[in-house]
Amino acid sequence: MIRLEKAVIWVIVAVALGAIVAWPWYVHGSVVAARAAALPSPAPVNADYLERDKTIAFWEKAVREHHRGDMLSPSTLSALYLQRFRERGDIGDVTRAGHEAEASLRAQRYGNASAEVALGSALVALHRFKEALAVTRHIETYDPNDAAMQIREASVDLELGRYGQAKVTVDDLSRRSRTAANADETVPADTLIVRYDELTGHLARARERFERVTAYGNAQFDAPAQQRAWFYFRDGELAFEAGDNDAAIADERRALAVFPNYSEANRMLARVDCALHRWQECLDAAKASAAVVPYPEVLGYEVDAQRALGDASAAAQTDDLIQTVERIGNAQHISDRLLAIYYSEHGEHLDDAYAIAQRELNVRDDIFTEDTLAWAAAMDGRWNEARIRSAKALRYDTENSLLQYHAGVVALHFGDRVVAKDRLAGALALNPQFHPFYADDARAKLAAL
Amino acid sequence: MNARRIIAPLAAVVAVAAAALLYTTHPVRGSDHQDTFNLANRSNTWADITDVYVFPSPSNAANVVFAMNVSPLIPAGMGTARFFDPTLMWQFKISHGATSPEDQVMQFGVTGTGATQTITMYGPAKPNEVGTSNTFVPVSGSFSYNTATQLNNGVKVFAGPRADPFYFDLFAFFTFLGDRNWATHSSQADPGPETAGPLFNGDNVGVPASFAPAYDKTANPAHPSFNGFPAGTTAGAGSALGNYACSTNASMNTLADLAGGFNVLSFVVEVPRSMLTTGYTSSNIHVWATSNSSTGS
Repeated sequence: MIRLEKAVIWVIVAVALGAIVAWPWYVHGSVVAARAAALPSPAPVNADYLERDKTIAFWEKAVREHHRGDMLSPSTLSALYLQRFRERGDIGDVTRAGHEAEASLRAQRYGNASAEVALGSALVALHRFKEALAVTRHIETYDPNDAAMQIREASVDLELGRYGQAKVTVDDLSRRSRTAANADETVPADTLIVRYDELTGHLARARERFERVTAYGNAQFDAPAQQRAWFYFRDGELAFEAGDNDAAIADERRALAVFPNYSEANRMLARVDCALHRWQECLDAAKASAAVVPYPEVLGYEVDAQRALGDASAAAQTDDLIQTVERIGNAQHISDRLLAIYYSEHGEHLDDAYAIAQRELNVRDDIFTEDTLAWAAAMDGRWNEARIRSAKALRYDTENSLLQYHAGVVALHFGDRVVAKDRLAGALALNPQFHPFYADDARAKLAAL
Repeated sequence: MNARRIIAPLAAVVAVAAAALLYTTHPVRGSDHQDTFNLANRSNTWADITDVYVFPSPSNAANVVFAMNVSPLIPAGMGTARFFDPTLMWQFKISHGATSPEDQVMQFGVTGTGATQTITMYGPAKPNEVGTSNTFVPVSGSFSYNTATQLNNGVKVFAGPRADPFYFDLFAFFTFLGDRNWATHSSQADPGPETAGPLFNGDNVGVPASFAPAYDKTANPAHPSFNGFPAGTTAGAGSALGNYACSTNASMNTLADLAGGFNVLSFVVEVPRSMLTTGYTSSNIHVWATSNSSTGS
């Protein structure tokens, strides 16, 4: 009897201790649930993109009137060209935006932040990141405490691989974000913080924060539909990185519901569908994306899907198209990294791929460029350089399957079985279907280790 | 639409239109076109109220007309392609005798997103609560976007696009007073970087000559140009004045004509005087308008 009572007591103690141990998770779950419950519901969608050409025609006319000292019309027109570029991907709109921003700055050189912001955005779209950084810093000379400018500067820092500089801003914004009166005000800052967390090995935290960003970003009726869809697109991108493939597909479809024919959402859909070997869905999404912007990445998905579906002739034609893009459609070199990835992954023009990746390094030295160069070097037989570049790409231990897989293959080449096993397993742990071919290869290599 | 909504202020009171006696209304001139940081930069620019008007009905002396123009800077030719933000509540707030708080409201809510939008009017009625967070009072009727309608209670209503009645020479204004550096304000409270640059245009004291825009170097603040056009010149189709907001006269025919000036969206309601006075101790009213969002932004 006494033994039974003792057993009951021990059970109670064990349950209590278990509850104590589980307390942090309970609190965390409650906080997450409370935050989710407090999130705003999406506003109805305003199909502003249908009026884009008409709006631009109006402002083009205003610019042509050459009102004396008119800095507003060209800067407004510049912003509209940039928005149309985000919607349709015509790089000519970026060039036009740059011209109009400069016209606005001729009318008002000092304190013309809207024109300088537009100019900076155009330079980012053209991958002229260092110039964009200079423009942003110039704005900060006459308005040093503007959080919006600090966010822009840190965003460019991330593109350039200046993670230490970005961290200073991110830390500052994180503090301010916690005390902000209105959650919708922190959307730009939180978007930056999410990107930083994603790149520096905190994917789960990034996803959790971005859920809130997406909710507030989609509560704005007057926001461009493309901008609202972008939040869902990013949600899907983060979900795929975390191996939540169903959520990724659902997010991209949500993006397309908000902004039909969104090339970025279709690009991500193609990436996920190809990774899942859903070849027809992949082909459909890739074609839809390429119909808007024929970037090498989506054309690459087309090639993979066409080959998998047995249409070798179509695959060869699409492959030719990618080379055409390199020759005549890449004058601004904004597709350099994508071309290098395609060639490296498909075993084509490996010398070119390496040279292109090296050229990209002069433009930006971020982790993805280092990884692209690592893989291009490896595929071109330059394994020593591949090892150095891969280590640089993973200096923040980014939770990205592809980066981990590349590092694993490079380690395996050098006989470093421990690191290879760790990286290949890491890639599959993040997403067991992270790539149409490399995921299976990672499994095979891991099994052989 | 009667469901209780948690409503916080988006835009504070934008314009106090009729200041003194309703029936001896004096004109109040002023306008707001994204003139504050929040309205120009943060969502929601469509919540911006440009002007509020209150005047005796020209066709029926027993009625009073209230008009509220919102969502400014709609380009010419796009008046009928812009619709009300369905996430907002729009209100005329009325105070009898005292200047505040409101003791009567007329509210508008919107459903749908396109040309088939339905607008519902609530009130006139005593508000459920005063201040910045409000809920809808009883419905008085619904009507379609861009369609003048008479409701069952005798109130006439219209909600739809109209040419913006506000006009002035913006760039001439900039030569002597305007804050051209509006975009550098970083918050509602930030007065701008006046210590680092020109506070007023045409007054570049302390600013290196190289920074002065060519426009400022040549402008003569004493003689605003109105862009060289004589007062009374009308903007619109075929006009040499073109389609910019800074015309010297109200733009014409801009709802569907790309050559005109800017448009706004208007709420116009014609109310029998008796609805404004019955049950109140004073027939003197003060009127202002607000827009509220359900997100607290």
